[in-house]
Amino acid sequence: MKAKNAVTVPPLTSTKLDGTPYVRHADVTAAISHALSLPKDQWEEWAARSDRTRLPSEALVFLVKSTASTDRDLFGKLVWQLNMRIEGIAKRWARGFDPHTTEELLESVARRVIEVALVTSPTRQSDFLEVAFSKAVKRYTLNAVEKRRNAPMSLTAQQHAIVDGDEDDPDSPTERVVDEGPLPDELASLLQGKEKHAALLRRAQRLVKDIRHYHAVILHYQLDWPISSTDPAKQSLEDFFGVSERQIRNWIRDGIAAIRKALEDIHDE
Amino acid sequence: MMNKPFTLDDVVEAIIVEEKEPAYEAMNRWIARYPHFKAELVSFFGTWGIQSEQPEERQAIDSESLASRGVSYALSLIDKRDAAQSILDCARAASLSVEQLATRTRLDDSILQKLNRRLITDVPRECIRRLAMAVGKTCEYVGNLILGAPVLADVRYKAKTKPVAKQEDFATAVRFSSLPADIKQDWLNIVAAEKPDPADH
Repeated sequence: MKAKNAVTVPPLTSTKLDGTPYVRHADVTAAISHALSLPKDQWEEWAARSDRTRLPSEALVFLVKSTASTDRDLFGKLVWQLNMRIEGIAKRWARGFDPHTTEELLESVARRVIEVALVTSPTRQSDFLEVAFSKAVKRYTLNAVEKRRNAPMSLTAQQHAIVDGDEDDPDSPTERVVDEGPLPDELASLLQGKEKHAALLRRAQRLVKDIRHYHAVILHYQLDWPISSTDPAKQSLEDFFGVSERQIRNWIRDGIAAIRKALEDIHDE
Repeated sequence: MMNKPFTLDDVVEAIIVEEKEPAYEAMNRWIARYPHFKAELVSFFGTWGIQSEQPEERQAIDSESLASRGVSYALSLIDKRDAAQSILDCARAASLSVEQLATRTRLDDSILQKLNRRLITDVPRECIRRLAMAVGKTCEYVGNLILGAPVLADVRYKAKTKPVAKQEDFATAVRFSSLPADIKQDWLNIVAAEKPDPADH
């Protein structure tokens, strides 16, 4: 970036938790400065590029904000580009849902990002969009998924019947689950190769009678969450799901059974 | 630099920056630092953990339609912001709640509601400056919103004569407010300091 073209970029005004100020990355500041020295009609083309020369997303946020009250047409075009980028990032963190729910999630994330970006008085969150856009979108996506966590998938008729029947007595052992499932090592090897075994794991998620049963397996075996804990400094699946230890054990058995069934189905095909 | 109290959003943001993975130990460490957000952080880390273990999938998303709706939403936000008719409209358009606006300006709900209906006279410049800074507008813009003829509440009156909104000066509004004594005193000092000296006339 040539100094003669440099345009001063206003600094961010928020501080991090540790008290240090938020500062844009040097390449972002340079990109904003360069963009401000260009005719505005070049901004959209720069934002729309798909190669490594494209405008950084953090700089795109800055330009979106700067056009919000001054150039409605350009603002709309830049927001379009911003939405495309949000979708690309959010899709990674919004997996495991039916297409309709996924689209709803992506839309809610895009809305959240634009709401934060357009606040008139800067906040930590709005500044963060100009510091680490991908991470900001990731956390908004996870927040959106949290809200949906209890209704993540369209249930099959069979799943509905089982879940509905289970509601009367959530602590009752599941009759359908008849074995303790594979050894954790065997299970771990399946789960650890999640890309290699993607089809199997997706099938297991469809077979499980409530998606939380599969989630309990993941958190317990893959991420080492204990089922319960007497140590207040150590959180457990009881804290996460808000149900009893006994119920979670039943869920895990059901989750394991679903994974084994998926494995058998795939072997049979 | 702004130095506002930490919110859950701030903490989650710091977690996303500092933690590469949703490790169980990391969750317990963050909860030890921010125990008042325990439930929220358990939920966040659990969700992150589950999503990080989701296998890749290809879904047919109508990206163009999604982006179009995003543009419409963004334009509607701008329209709402530009259409603000009162200081609280203006705050809402800036994604500020009444409580947040009160915190940032060191006013309370009663004063803000009165300012919103232009029921306060002799508003000090410092008050206008703080409001303007909070909602991201100029002092002139905010002054036009809060000064002038009072706004009547949107209710039906049975009286034959048109009701008259009662105005009071800023110092009176401060005295009747629920602000802590020290903040009241700060405002009264500001009012006194801004009061024109009779000797100037």
